[in-house]
Amino acid sequence: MARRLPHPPRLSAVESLILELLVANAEAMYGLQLVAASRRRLKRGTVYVTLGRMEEKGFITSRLEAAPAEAGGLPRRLYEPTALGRRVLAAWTAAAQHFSPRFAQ
Amino acid sequence: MSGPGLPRRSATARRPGTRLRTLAARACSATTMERLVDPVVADLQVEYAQAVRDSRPWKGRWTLLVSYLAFANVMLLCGILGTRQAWRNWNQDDQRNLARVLWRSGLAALAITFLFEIPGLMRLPSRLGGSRDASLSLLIAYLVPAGLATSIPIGILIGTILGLAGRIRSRRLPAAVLLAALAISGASFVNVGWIVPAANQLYREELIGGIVPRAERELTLIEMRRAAEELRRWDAAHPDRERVKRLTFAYHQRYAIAGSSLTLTLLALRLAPRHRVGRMAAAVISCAAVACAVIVFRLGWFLSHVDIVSAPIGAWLLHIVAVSTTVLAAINGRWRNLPLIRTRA
Repeated sequence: MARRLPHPPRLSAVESLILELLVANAEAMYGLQLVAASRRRLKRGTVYVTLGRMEEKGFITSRLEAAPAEAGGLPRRLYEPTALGRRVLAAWTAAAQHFSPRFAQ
Repeated sequence: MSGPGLPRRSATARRPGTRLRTLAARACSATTMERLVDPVVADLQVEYAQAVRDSRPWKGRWTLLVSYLAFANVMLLCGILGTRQAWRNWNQDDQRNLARVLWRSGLAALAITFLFEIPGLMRLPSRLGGSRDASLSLLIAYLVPAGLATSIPIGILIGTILGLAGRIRSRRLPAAVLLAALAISGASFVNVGWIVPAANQLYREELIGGIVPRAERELTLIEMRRAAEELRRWDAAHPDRERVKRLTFAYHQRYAIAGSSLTLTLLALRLAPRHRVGRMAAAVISCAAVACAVIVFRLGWFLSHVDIVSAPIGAWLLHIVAVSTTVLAAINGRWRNLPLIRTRA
């Protein structure tokens, strides 16, 4: 019997947008920054769920900011893309560019 | 300022989102807190502090509103994800106990439906009279939805007490039983609102052998609400308070019956003894609970009928009593479990 190949990583539209924003930005970003940069395409109620899922998939990594912005307040979580995330985004973008003109025809 | 520790503590207490975070920590796992809840609360605190620093109170209020909505959204998603995770981690004991509850509830509901149908069946031959065209099996089938409407909540009450008495319960099991009760309540709502009126009407038409105008019982939930509103509007000119009251009671009662599966399950979860008891003892507890529920249900109708309480309160009395009893029993249980009292005992 032929061995089943592992599933290639999948990227939803929202995940792709988040990766694009994170890759475009040189520094790590926190959730609200992503929401603001996405021009309302990301919602603050769902962005962290998507970020959590992406972290589980290994597309991004997160860390707590060094010093809390407000003394005594909770530290914010900063997100940045991993090497896998960058590769998946590159592959995804290439595939989209490859297929889009054909679909348009 | 009285000391170095106090301002910091009071500032922390005043910080928005702290209490919500504490509440969320009770329900969510450490990973969920770390990945989902804490970032939302951190955003809320930073944004709010920024608005306060800039002396923009409306911006602060808006931030609070938007952040609380985001928090609610995250909690909802947490609930969905948590349920999915719980389902995956579901152990065999819990599965068996849930099956026991559902199986016994179903059996009890069927038995009670049959008991409810007996008086109707006994009257059928005399009602049929000369009209032998009516199909007896169809008539019996049309009676089933109305029987199920009341037998399902009672069946769940019995089934949950019998199924869980003396069983070791994980934290997931009551949640799963409540979830099942919620689904049954939803189905019951459709049954009471639309299927029962249609079945009642078909029953009457089958019995008489022709088209019959629909009476109050044969109105769907929406039609009943419209009828009650219209009647209330005309009440000033043509006062018929008795009919308005009856219709309002019947309208609320349908919702109450649909929701009673959930409320009675909540009560049954509290009433089911945690220690080992014999089947007979569990049966006695469940029978007593059913008797009390039926009495309260009838009492609601009576109190509303004699104008002691309004029709909606009369219809919902069973829920009010069941929820109050559950809360009181929970408080009582918590008091008993306090270390001091346990030591003395």
